[in-house]
Amino acid sequence: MTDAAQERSIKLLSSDNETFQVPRNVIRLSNTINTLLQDLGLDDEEDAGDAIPVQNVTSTILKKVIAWCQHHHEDPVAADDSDSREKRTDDISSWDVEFLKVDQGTLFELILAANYLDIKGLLDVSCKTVANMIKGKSPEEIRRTFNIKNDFTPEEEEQIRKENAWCED
Amino acid sequence: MSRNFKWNDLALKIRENVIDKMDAKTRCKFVQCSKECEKQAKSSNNYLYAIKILEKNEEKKKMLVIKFEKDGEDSQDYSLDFLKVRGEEKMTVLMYRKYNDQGGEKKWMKLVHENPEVLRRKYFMEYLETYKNSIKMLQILDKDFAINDLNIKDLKTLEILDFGGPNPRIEMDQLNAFVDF
Repeated sequence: MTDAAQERSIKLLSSDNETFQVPRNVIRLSNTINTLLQDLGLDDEEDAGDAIPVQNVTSTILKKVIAWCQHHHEDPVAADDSDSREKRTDDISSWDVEFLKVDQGTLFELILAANYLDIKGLLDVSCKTVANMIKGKSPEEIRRTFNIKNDFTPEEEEQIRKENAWCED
Repeated sequence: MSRNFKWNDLALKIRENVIDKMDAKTRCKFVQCSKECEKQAKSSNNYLYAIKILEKNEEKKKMLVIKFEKDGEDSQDYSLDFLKVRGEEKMTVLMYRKYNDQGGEKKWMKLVHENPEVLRRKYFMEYLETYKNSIKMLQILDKDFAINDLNIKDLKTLEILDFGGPNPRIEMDQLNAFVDF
């Protein structure tokens, strides 16, 4: 992508028909949008034309996604998430922690949007937040939190509890 | 404004991503939630190690196996700590230790950093304590696995085997030969 292209804006259209003007260098964090622009040959176009429909994302969520990209667009490109990298759940930046202080439904919608738009950083940090929500909870509490139906028989449940007894304090 | 989401509303790839972010202890809680959770958590192939704990009570033997493994990864990438306890009852404890490319122990630390005390002391100690009266021989296949950590001074016989280097490697086939379950 050329410098000129980075300075341009593109328009995104949410599922509820709200249009957002987004600087190209901000939305570059979305691999989906990047690929789309490249495939359509619009990457270096002065005017990217009509708004790009982001059909799976509502305006409320898209606004948040753009805000996240705006804040992080100058971050260095993360290394590939391979096994060689230390993985932690306590390394979420304070800005992201505040950003992700939302109700569970919104958090899940953000995850779905990050997945759809292929924004790796946002997907990672939001998944970490969900993992952290689970931390310290009992199996029953986890079930309640995520509406998970317990389909173990009492015998199976006892067995798996025993198998995992080592993690009890 | 938002839906009341369920865990299964998330795509499989996302669920795996979340599971991938869980520490070992959280993961052990998570697998107890449902059969699907158990399956997902045990088959996730990113970073976190499927923790498989098998305990078998049979008439003639008692066997405990703890495996830390990463699905789909060549077992040769792993070195192995092998602790084998034999007695009237048989107990076998296996623990994988993963090394970095230079043969250092960085990944070992990563593997257990979530819960090293449980792994290195509490869990082993509980079982060793339980069976110490029936333990007749202990073999430790890695000097790095500090005997002090295990505190098994009461054992009648202690034999330390060095299988040819600081980072002995055992192929999966050989491993299976040890673990006859």
